[in-house]
Amino acid sequence: MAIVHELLIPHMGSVENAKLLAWRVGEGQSYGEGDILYEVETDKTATEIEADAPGILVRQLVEPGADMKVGDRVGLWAPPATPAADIAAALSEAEVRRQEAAPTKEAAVAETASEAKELEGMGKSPRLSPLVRRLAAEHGVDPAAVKGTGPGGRVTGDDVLAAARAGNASHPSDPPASPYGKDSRVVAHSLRRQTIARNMETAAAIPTLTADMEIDLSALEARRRADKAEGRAVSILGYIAHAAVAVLVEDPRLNAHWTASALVRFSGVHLGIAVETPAGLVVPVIRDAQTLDAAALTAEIATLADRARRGSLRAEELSGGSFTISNPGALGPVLRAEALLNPPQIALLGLPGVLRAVCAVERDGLWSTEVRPVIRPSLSFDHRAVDGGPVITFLNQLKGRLESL
Amino acid sequence: MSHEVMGYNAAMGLALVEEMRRDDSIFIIGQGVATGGWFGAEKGLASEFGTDRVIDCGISEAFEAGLAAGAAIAGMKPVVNMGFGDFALIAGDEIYHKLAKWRYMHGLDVPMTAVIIFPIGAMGGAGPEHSSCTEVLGMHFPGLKVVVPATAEDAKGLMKAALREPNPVLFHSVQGLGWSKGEVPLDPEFIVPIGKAITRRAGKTLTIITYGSMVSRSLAAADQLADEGIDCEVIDLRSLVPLDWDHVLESVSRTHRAMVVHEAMTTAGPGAEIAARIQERIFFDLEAPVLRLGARDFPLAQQADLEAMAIPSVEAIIAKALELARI
Amino acid sequence: MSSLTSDMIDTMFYRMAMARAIERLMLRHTRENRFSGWWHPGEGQEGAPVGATAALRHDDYLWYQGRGSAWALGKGMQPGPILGDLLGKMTGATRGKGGGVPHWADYRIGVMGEGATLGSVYPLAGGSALASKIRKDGRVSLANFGDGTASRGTFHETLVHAAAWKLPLIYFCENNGLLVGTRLGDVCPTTDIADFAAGYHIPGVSVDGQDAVAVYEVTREAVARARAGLGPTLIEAKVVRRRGHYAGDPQPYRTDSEFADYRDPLELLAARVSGNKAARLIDEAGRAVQTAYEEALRAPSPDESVIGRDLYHVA
Repeated sequence: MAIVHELLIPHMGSVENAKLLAWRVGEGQSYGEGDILYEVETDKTATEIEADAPGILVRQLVEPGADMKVGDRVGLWAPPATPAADIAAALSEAEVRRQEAAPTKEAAVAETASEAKELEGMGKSPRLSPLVRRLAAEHGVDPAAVKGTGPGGRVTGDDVLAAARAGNASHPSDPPASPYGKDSRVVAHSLRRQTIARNMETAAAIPTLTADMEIDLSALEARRRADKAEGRAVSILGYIAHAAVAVLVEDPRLNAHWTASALVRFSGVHLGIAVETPAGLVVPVIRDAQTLDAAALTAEIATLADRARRGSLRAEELSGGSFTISNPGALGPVLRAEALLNPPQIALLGLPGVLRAVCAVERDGLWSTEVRPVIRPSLSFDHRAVDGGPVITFLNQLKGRLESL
Repeated sequence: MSHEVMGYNAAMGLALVEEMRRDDSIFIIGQGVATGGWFGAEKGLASEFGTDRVIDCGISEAFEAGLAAGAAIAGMKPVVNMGFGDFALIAGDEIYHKLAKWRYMHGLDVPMTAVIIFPIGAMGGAGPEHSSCTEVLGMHFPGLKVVVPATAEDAKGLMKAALREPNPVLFHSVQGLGWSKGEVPLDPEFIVPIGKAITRRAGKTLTIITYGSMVSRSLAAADQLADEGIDCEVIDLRSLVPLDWDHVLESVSRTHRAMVVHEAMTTAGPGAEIAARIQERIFFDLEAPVLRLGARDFPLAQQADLEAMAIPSVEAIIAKALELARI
Repeated sequence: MSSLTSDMIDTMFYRMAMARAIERLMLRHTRENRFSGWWHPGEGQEGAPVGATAALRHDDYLWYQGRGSAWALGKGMQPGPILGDLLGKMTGATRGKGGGVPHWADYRIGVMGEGATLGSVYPLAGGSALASKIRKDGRVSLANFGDGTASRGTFHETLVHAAAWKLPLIYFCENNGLLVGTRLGDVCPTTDIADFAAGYHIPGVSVDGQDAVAVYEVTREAVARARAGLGPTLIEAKVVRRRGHYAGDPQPYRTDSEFADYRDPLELLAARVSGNKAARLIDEAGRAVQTAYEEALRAPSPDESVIGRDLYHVA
């Protein structure tokens, strides 16, 4: 039985690419189940990868900053309490296999180092000239993540500058030449680049339509006061999300994915909640939201939003959504909340601000005007997947539930 | 003002003539100077200025150098042709103590003009005691200025600067260049300031810091290296004291790679100081260690083939530059 | 018959008395371990420098190598800058840089300085003599040295050229017969340095160095020859080194009998000073030196500004 095992980048929903941000366990260090091994940044968020079993980290095969794909080897581990001598013996064999299987960047660096025997004594760290060390520090570039074009593949100062210009800098203290003046600050960020690309793709590829409806929130506000009096904290979003989930469970036509070959409808509602964070928009997912009441849903949304802002969401919490609610109204009294879809989902509910509006009210056959709290949600939908009918039905059902809480 | 093509030694001679006409406190002394000089720089001086100011001396270098010190202290501007740089060692006390230190140890902030001409370097078999590059000695004894012209133009311009310099100057003329020709400005006010290096060739890949006989070889090497995509910047220091550090450091901080090439011996040669100073000042601008290429640590043989083996060739400069580019 | 006036003798005596006062002061000062350099006592040898310098014009060049302070005092330096340097203070002629092996210099009165490598001023004096010859300024250069350094190569190199070119140069040897502790006769074929002159076809003169007036007379003649363009003279003043090579030298190589017929140059010259003026001049000289010493003690030591001074002149 093999003593040394490979540590792979786990599957994280629809994520394909991951960048190793930092190791949390050192070489030779033991870890327990659930301990954080390392952090990665994916297209969607920064994520901590936990150990699914206890062990000893034998090798870190990848330096922070390295671009990886799901399934790539990042390290080697051994079962708990394996004697060091056994690990060492097994290691050389594993090393050989690793290099045969796929010559990684680290292998290339090691090769360069072995070529230049006269500069031995630098240990396993790659040979970095004084210039490279200075420029890397100034531009926040990790030289290990830079492709070297120098002698023997060595990273040169020009390589670091090129990497900094290309935006590989994690902390660009010295932004690359910019057409903007000193009063501007150029921030390149991989997460935002992914967002931009996806938005453009979504906007271009999906025939998206939007339907709006006005919902009177008088009943919701009354219910909210009552719940609060009973010690139950439910947000406006909590009531609306709970109602929307209930509608989708009854009528799953908008609770679906549009894939290349089929429309996939879900019985459970995996509710995505769009959250604005300093690093950009992220959409954590509440699995089987139909199992939660309004108060539980409120609490879960608050927890996820908080973790999203702290960047501590796991990749699986960011994927697998079946329907998304976007709530820009929480940020300010926007009048309309039309939003781009979150493919492959086919529908998204956008919530603008709650307004005090003059409403025509019928009471005992008499119409009068009253000032009421109203919200005018927008439902955006993929016209390839559904026509207007189910959308209007959904909005009607939602209106009915919220006005009779 | 026009230019004239003339030899390196003749250009030095022209500077002497111009300055002796201008300043009658200048006199020249050396072995055979009144009869035309060993290397021709003094040709015709005696007939114009007389043997009071163009003085033949016996074979006594210590006397000549000490006499220059005494005359300079007394307000004259002596020029001594020492014949060979090697003879600096015969006159060690007079040059490196008296000329260098007299004012300092007596607390006198006064002008003291004296030019000691040291013909240096290989000339095709002059032998171990007539080919030494002794310029590094001047770097080690504060109080002297040290120049090494590499072209006829600089031979004239630096000699003129030395004759107007209020401090003793060790003027190292390159023996191998004595008869080489170049365009020399005829303007009597043309001066090459002491302490200013010049970039002879601009380049991006690496900087060759050199002077004297190795300037033309470094340029020839740079031409061939360009064919291999290695774009060398070649700096001619011209002065070693004071050394134009700003010029050197500016270049190396751009190219990030530097090597020093000189005919003087490698060990404890000027390149040792230059390399050390570069890494002290701009370590974090360097892609590679600063390399040195100087003469091998042997006395120069009288046999010309052996002599050539000891000092850097164009091929050796190319090889060293390739080594540097590949670090 | 001496050509010296009584005023000139008084001046010589006063300067010699100052030199002697400095000798006594430095003996005490070094015994108290307050001296940072090497003091080379000149007691007993003050007559030759004072006599020789009395024959020089104020603008003649003096290159000295001598013991004590009599050469500088004889050429007109004051005790202030001399003691300033001996105590390593800013008030010294060199701002404290040249102390034990003294480097007092004052170009304005022709005190050109001292070479610390013994016997190294020959070619320098040759240089200033050549300058005078080229400029025809009528100045004479005097190179002072000890008998021990007459074996230096530049002694010969300079003298051979100076004789050939008839430079206005005077070689002035203080022959005390000792090279630190070595007897001159052990390392030299003659104990009369003046003998060397014959080889250079110049006059060689031996004189009683304890007698300042006798020294003055032979130097005056040599100066006249030099100014007349007749070339160098080699003067040898026979002197007695009363003390050790350096302050504190135990002198195992000497015996008391050497001093049996010792004649003090200060006493010899005092006999020529008119009336009872000698005691008054000694008293004045002692007070001048004591005042200078006290001022030097109070003066500041060199600061950081001194270390970089005087290396390169900026026009």
